[in-house]
Amino acid sequence: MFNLFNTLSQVVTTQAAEKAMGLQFTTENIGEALMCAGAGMVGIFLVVGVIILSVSILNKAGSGKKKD
Amino acid sequence: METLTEFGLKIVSIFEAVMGMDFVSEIIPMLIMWAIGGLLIYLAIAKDMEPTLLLPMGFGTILVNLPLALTAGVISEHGAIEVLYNAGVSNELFPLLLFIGIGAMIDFGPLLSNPKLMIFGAAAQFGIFFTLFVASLFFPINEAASIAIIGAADGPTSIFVASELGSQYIGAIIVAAYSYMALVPIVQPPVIKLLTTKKERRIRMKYEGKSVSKRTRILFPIVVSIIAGVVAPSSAVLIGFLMFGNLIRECGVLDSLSETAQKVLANLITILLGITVARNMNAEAFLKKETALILGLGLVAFIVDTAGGVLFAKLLNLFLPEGKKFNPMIGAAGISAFPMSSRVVHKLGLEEDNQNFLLMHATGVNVSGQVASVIAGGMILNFFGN
Repeated sequence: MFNLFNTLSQVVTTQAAEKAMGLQFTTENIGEALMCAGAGMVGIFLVVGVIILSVSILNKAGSGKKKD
Repeated sequence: METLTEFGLKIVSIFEAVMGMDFVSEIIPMLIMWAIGGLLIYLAIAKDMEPTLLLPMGFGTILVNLPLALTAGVISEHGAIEVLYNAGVSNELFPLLLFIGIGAMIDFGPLLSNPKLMIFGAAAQFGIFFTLFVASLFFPINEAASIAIIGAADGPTSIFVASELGSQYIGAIIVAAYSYMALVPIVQPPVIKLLTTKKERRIRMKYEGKSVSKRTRILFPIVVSIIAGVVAPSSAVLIGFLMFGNLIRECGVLDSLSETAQKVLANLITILLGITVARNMNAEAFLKKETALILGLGLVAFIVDTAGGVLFAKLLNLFLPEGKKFNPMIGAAGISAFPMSSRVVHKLGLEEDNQNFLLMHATGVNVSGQVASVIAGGMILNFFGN
């Protein structure tokens, strides 16, 4: 029953979107997109975190030296 | 009435005979593209919207949409624009050369004196990945990724990634990227005001103005290139060229090269890039319903980028004591559009409290957004590139 409702709602939603925008609506890439979105944000925070750490170390190492 | 209709049909048939084109399927789209080209030129000149790119693009749009007989020499296989496109855009050379100029222009001082601000640059890339998800509902995943990179709010990154992924919508993507960058002062303030209270917008942040050693300034571009190259290899070339430009600036012994990169190189590449990317602005490729959707998704990307930065600052504030809290508006400057976004935040701060000077904090976040957006471009290429 739940599956029937799920399928029916998916068909209705898809058709409404296609009718409204005249565009093909697909849900087949959602999983991949969500996974990449999550991994991408984690990746950016990771890289930026390492850069922040490195700059802090550079600043510490540079303190006491000649400033410009 | 009938005579008027007959007269109209006669005019149409004269047009068709003279130009050797069908009125409905060829001449009307051509006229629409001329109007779009004219609009881009108007926005560049009259509204000062990203004129360095929108003007050449607008003119190029008219050029590539001239009737077939003329166009043959422009975008045919050995035509000038096609040759330039193959020499500089399809192999991503122009955006990379432009990155040298941009790197030479950026002063990372505000970021280096307060590196923790860089975290907002990362948070404000959320719009890219949110848009990737939404765009994947309508486009194949590679196209969705190309569209999502509009959220990088950085023209050369958008061109580089969309070219690398072989997007057929590169014209619309570039128009969206540069248009919204120019519209940052209109797009960001309502989003920022919607997500913050008056009290939050009045938060003052101390600026300590720490000086940064020359050694740190020189090592920064080298270290960032190595880190980006190791953690996100696909971003190595983008970050590498940006940081190479910055190293030329900061090394202190290549002033003439730095000046050349900032002015001559950047200007020369911008001229060629603008008119060359217009190659994808022909009626057949541009006048599609997908173009309107891409423009809409680009706006979503900019809005969610802004919201991501602001909400992340609000989240951090939950854990910070009074007096150490961030003004959440600075999070919005994490989108790459430099320096407009930092100016927008500074202006909003002054509107709420005329003694609240957020410019240096916002600038630090803004330049970190430049780095983070390039890393995001690299991430997208890591996932979807060949």
